[in-house]
Amino acid sequence: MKHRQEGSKLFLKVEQNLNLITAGHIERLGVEADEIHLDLSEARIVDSEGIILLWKLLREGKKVLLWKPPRILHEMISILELKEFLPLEKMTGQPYEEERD
Amino acid sequence: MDATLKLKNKPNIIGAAANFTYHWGINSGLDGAHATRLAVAVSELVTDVVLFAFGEQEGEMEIAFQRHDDRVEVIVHEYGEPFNPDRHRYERRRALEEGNFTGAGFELVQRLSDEFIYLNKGKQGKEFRLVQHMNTPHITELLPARELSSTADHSQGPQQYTVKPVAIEDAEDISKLIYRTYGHTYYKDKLYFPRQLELSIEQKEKIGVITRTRQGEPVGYFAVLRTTDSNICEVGEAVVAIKHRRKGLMKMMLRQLIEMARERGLLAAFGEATAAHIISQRVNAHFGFQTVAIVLSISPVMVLSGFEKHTSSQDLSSVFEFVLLTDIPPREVYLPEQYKNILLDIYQLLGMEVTAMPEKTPTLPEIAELEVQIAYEDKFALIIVRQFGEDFEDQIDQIFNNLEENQIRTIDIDLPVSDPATPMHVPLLRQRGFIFCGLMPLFHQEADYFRLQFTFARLDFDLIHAYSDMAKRLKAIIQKEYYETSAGRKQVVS
Repeated sequence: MKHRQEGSKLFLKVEQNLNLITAGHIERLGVEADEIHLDLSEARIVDSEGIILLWKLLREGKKVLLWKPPRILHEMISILELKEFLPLEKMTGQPYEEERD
Repeated sequence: MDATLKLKNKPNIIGAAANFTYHWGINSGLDGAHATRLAVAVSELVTDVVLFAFGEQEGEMEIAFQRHDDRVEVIVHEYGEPFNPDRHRYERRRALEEGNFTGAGFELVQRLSDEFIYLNKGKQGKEFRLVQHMNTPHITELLPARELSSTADHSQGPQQYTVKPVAIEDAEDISKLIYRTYGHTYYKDKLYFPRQLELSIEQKEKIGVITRTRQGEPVGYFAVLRTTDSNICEVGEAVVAIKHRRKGLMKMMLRQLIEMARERGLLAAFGEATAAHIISQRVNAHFGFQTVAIVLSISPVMVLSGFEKHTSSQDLSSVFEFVLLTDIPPREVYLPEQYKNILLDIYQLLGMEVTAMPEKTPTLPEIAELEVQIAYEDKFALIIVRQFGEDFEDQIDQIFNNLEENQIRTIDIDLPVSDPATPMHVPLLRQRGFIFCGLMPLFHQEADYFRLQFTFARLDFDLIHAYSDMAKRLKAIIQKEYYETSAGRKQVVS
């Protein structure tokens, strides 16, 4: 997983799955951040640990922006009836960019 | 099984298991969206096992992957702490207000799978079974209606047909032929999907022949399938275009097929002839097949185009018929006393030499090993006894209850006749309403099994037709036991 911090903003790119391990990692990295940009364009498999992570981050008052969440995440949010809490279409952020020298 | 993964309950295996599932799904014929759903469901189950199944202890789970013609199945098997899914229901309010997402993973597993069954096998652990149906294009989506219209009428004698082994490139022609002949009514739905057929041929799951006219038009298809865990094959998937019937094509194809199966070292062939009429049973008899069992309510009612007048108004029952393709060495068998005569007669008809051993009471291991196979769409389950054990009764009751909860209508059980413990377990199964079914020779791992059956279906035996003398004998016993046990049984109507 790639990540970089810019002040209180944390930028992350999940390159594999968003699951128990990656969610725990993101949670630890995001402790100090107020705004988290999560690039999910390469995350194929997201499970409920990813949804729990989003719930935690939002509950802590952080701003969470997503880039290209996979279709399965929309489907899972719909199954769990969490569309109002997690309106993905209103959470659109930017793609992850490597840090420029 | 295509593959089995043995995994420790460690978090770092979650992603690996999900990735394997995704890639295996794709290679088995699923599209990306369905392979992803399957992988997410596996990720959820594996996470639950890692987090909860073993507490702080180290534990293991097994994930088995099996591709079938029309679906893929993944079985997650673990031996951890007891689990009652009813006590872990997902609640939206609790999740949103308290951040308590208990049951969310399990909810997703069920909703992302086309079929899902949870089996509690007591000391033998727990099984979570996930199924995704294949979703490749139907023949009607691939070809224009004009091309799918009926075949041309060539009045030809048998000498003008050619019968050849099927190749991958025949798949679309086979689908076309099935559609032209039966419309949408052929009972093996997967034959309408050329891509699934290609995969089956490519993976050598079936040996088939195709008949063409001199003009190259496909007019007949017949295949034997590797459908069991044994070196035997099932004669199934047969079609002859309506205008080319009564020209001996079916017999020509079956003769060639049996020869091909023999050349490939298969020990026996069996057929599941419908009991809705005797036509298929008569064809099988012509080729030396012997009746070995009658399986009640093996699938729901269906109407085959061209066979409307033979259509049953109740669940379909099948007459199982066997023919040996090679000599089988003599074997010792332990047969339940009340069925010994008929089972020995079946062996004799098949030409198999067996010695019925005297009854004895063996010492049993603590845990029985029972395998469950489920035909989800047919609501039919088969329990295979791999090993008897002291907890056999508990496991049977638990599995039976789980299957009943999942609306399985018929549950059969195969008991190994090479095991001296088989006869002593028959009374307890009879007490639970299981009735006679027959003999399943060489059916699992080249060993013979005695089959009992249980069905919730309400059946009229006048609609179950038996052709051979043995089929009539089997039917008489099964009918008697069915009515003896039906009074105390909750039943469902077709």
